Amino acid sequence: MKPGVSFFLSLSLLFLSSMSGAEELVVGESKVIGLTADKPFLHVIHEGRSVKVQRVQDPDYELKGYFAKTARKCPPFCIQPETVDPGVATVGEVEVFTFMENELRDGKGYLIDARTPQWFQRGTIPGSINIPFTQFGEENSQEMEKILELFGAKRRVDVGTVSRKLEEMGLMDGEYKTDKWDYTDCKKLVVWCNGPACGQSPRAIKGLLKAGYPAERIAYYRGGMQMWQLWGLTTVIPGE
Amino acid sequence: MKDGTYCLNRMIQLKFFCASCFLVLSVIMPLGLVAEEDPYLSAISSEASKVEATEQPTLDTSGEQPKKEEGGIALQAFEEELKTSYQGSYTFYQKLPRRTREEVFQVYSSGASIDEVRKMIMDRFLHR
Repeated sequence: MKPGVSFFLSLSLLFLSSMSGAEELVVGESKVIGLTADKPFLHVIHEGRSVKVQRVQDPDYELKGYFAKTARKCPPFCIQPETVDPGVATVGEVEVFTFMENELRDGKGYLIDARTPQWFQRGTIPGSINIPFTQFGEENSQEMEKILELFGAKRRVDVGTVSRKLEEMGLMDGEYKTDKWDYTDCKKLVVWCNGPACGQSPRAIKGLLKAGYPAERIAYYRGGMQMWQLWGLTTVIPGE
Repeated sequence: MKDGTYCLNRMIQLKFFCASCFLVLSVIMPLGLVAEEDPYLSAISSEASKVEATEQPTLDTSGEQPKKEEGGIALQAFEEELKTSYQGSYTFYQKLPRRTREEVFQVYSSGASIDEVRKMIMDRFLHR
């Protein structure tokens, strides 16, 4: 290769590499602190109004108040296991964003704040409905039945012993069915509470599983309010 | 004779004592059980009081503004009717924030049918 040609090629390569470096620099210098790399914010409906979910844009923002605390009395506020049940997926914030933009928006799922109303009133994740974990306790209670119906479960009547046995054996379509409930069309739920040291949503999930709710239609957002606030994500005060 | 009266008196006293014990136990025991059952709830409740309601409300909303309050008596009557005739709707109505309950009531006051009101309650509860 002639010296002139190789010099020209080297110069071109140098120019091209500097161009790609400049592009990366532009991306890195973006002013917006997004939810993810390609999602600056999202909108959810809360109390009939559209709420913009985003992160606090101040890079010097520090979490203060109750959810900044690292320690709480244990028991009862002990660190919870990563999984509530082998069949129930544990999800993080990104999966919650996806859920908000899909199932929640399309009416195919619910975001459940399983904390007691006292907590809910002090701030919640936009789009959440408050069903305290205490209401998931009694399988046959009137409240639990209302909740299951709300989630899309259908009450089964007059299910014969033989039919049920055949369902259990897999000879009849028995998937998502129990003696009392048909969960075929039930909604996807993301259940959350105060965070990794909170036992309220795990209890709610256990109550749902006990009632026969399909585990694969429940997700546990373990990070809860603590992680949501740690990331500087939008919260709303109900009724305001 | 005297012994017979004495025995009778003792028996009455014993019966009275047993009945008293039963009454006392039936009142105290459930309380004890509730207290024993719900230490977690008590702990949660006391912990909740440590949280400030103003933490990180980066709310950015659009849409309708809150509606004004209506007369207290009419609202009570509406809630009473809902509670009596539509227990399920009332359960979810109770869970709505105060402002939304007022909105529901205003729709009801403006002449909406009870079916429309019940649908609105569920829509508001489910953020639809």
